[in-house]
Amino acid sequence: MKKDVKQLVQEQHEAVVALRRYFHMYPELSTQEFNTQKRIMAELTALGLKPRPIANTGVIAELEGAKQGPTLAIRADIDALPIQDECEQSYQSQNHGVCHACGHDGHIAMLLGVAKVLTEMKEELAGNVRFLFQPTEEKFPGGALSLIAEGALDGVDMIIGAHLWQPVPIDAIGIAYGRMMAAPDEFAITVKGRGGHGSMPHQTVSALLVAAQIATALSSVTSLSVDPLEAAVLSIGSFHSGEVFNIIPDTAVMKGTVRSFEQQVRLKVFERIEQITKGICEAAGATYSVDKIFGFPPVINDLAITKTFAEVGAEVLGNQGVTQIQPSMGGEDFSYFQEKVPGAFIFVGIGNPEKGIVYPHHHPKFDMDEKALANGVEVMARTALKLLS
Amino acid sequence: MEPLISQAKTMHHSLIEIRRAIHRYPEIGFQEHRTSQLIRTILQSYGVEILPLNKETGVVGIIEGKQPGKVVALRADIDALPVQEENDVSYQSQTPGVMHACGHDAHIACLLGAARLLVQRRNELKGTVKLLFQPAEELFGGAQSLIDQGVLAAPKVDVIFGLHTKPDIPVGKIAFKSGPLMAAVDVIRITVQGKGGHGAMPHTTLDPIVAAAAIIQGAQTIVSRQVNPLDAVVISFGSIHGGEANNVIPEKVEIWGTVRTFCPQLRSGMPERLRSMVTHIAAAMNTEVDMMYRHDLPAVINPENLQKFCRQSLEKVVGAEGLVAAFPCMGGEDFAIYQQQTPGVYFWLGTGSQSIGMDLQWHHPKFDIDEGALPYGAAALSQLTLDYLQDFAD
Repeated sequence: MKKDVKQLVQEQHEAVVALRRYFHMYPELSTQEFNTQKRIMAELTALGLKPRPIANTGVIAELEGAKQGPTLAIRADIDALPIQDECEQSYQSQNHGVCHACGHDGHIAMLLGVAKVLTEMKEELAGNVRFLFQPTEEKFPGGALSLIAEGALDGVDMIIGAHLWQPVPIDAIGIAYGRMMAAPDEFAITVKGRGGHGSMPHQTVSALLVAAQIATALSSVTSLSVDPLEAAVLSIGSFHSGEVFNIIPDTAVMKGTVRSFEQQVRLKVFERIEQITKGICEAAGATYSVDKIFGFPPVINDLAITKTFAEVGAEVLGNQGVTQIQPSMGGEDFSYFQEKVPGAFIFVGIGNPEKGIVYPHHHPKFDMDEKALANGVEVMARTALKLLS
Repeated sequence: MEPLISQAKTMHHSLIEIRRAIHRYPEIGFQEHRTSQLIRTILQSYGVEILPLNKETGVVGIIEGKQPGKVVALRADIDALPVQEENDVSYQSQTPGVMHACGHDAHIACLLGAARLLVQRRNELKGTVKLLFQPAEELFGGAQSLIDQGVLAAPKVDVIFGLHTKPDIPVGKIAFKSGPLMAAVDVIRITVQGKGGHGAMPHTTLDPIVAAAAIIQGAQTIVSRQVNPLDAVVISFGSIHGGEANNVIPEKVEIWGTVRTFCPQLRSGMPERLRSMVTHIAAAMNTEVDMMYRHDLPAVINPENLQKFCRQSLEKVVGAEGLVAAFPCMGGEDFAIYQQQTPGVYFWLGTGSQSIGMDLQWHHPKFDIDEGALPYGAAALSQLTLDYLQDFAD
């Protein structure tokens, strides 16, 4: 059986790479994955499965094993990001300003590859496999909730998922027992000052300058207000104010993200955002609003399933191919599934400096070593077979 | 002979008519076709010769005195602003989104009034008057464009006068000062280049937003810590744009701003002061910067040696009590470009009144003037001309 999986994976590797490149060329933003959905449906139908749409732009399909057993869900997220692709490859994004800069193109291709392998090996399966192609992972409140609301987990006993991961090198997987990914929250700060001509600053309250002061003060929240043994991140991702060089703007808007693992830490950071913004605005004579958007829960892995991943990983990639990673500050709405059923998430390494695969997730030049797709398909397929044996 | 101001007051109605005709059809810089045509028509009706220009907008008229002498240029700017007028008046702008919100309509009326007064006194005139109706002051390109077309040469201009309406000075008054009046205008663009990445992994990025925020604050310390507190300087940032999503740290951030100064030495040192501040802060945060520093306009500085002459001449128009001290302002004016080439004097014409509201500054959608000011403007320009050609005759 061992040889068979590897062989199947190798035979279809080129097809999986082609699929990944197709999705990379035609990325679609969260909630708009219509073409992506269509292609996934077509591929699954070609395998003899009966896929159906779910959560508007997602896809669900069930593979029945030859023998009785539990139901395992395998999930891939399918949306892209509002980033201009600068990968400079033949498969560069054809959709202006939209890019698979987080590897979800590979996630779709891998899960289609896993579906193909498991379909061909369904005689070995003691239980069912449910394939979940989930839209809108990058945008709150996240597509996982919609899937769950539409019954995607009904009858499911456990769930697994993988993320292609740049910080993990190629030919390795990253696993974590327990805490794996942070709760990603958002905030938006709007500062209102008093606009006016740039030559008469004394008649104005520059929202731009006040916001800059807030940005600087916020950059010490995680260094000063959070227990140094706890982990937290506060990043500002966008800062916009004003139109022309010589008019002092009356409004500035900054949007950012907060990452944490503990509710207490989370609340503390948001309390500081509010206090700092309030204090600086009052001092400057400006007014403000802080919008807080609480995102996904943290990804906390089931120990037993994680152990299965570790064993399979060692079989496929050798002992040195399985790394216990530090928890990531990235967020994942895979956590919503884990709140309902035992589940584990892994990282599949794609980093390869020799091939220039050095750019972090969400970077315009983000790319992957596509050999990772074969590794991912094999690890996921074998883990599924093992969990359903 | 009757004083010029008395004569100007008899022309009050026609000055208002001209100003309102211009106000109704405002045109943006270098697009002042209709405005230029109207000016030419009126000048010709006064018997003023029009000099040919290469460019389509802007008008230059010339009045030759009966006696030879020096050459005085009078300048009015004629362009409007991309502002939607909010005044509910009979002469409201008929062009959506464009408005004479800086009083250039009044400048045109005053200069046409002065032309008419000077034509009437041609026999007394000891020299030549050039009337410069300049396009595109708001774009800072009009003065240079006229100079490039040779308006200060053949005959060579000896002195240039110009005025600007000022809403916080009451109608019937003129504000004058020698030395710096309006600031030099410089433009800065700073691009902070970091390394983008996921907001959850700041350690894998070089965050240009945090660096940009530090740069914006650091720049203020140039004003408060580096420059002599007795020297006026302004550093204002007008725009910052970086990033799209909340959770993606962007590659770069772009900041635009303006620097205003009076003192030429201080001004010439500003690029280096900013460059040093900006590059060091950026370097401290492991980011890189590209800084563009552009000198757009020099300061408007009135020459000391014309101070006494101007006071005496302007007092004839508004009286000793009507001539008040001008406060310098950090706004810019491309009248300064003429002053680089020839001695020139710029002054404020009071256009404020209780009924109009004296707090609505230039460029405001409800900016308006008390039209009672128009005869004073016309008289002031013609008086300075007449007196200069008399007092400075060879």
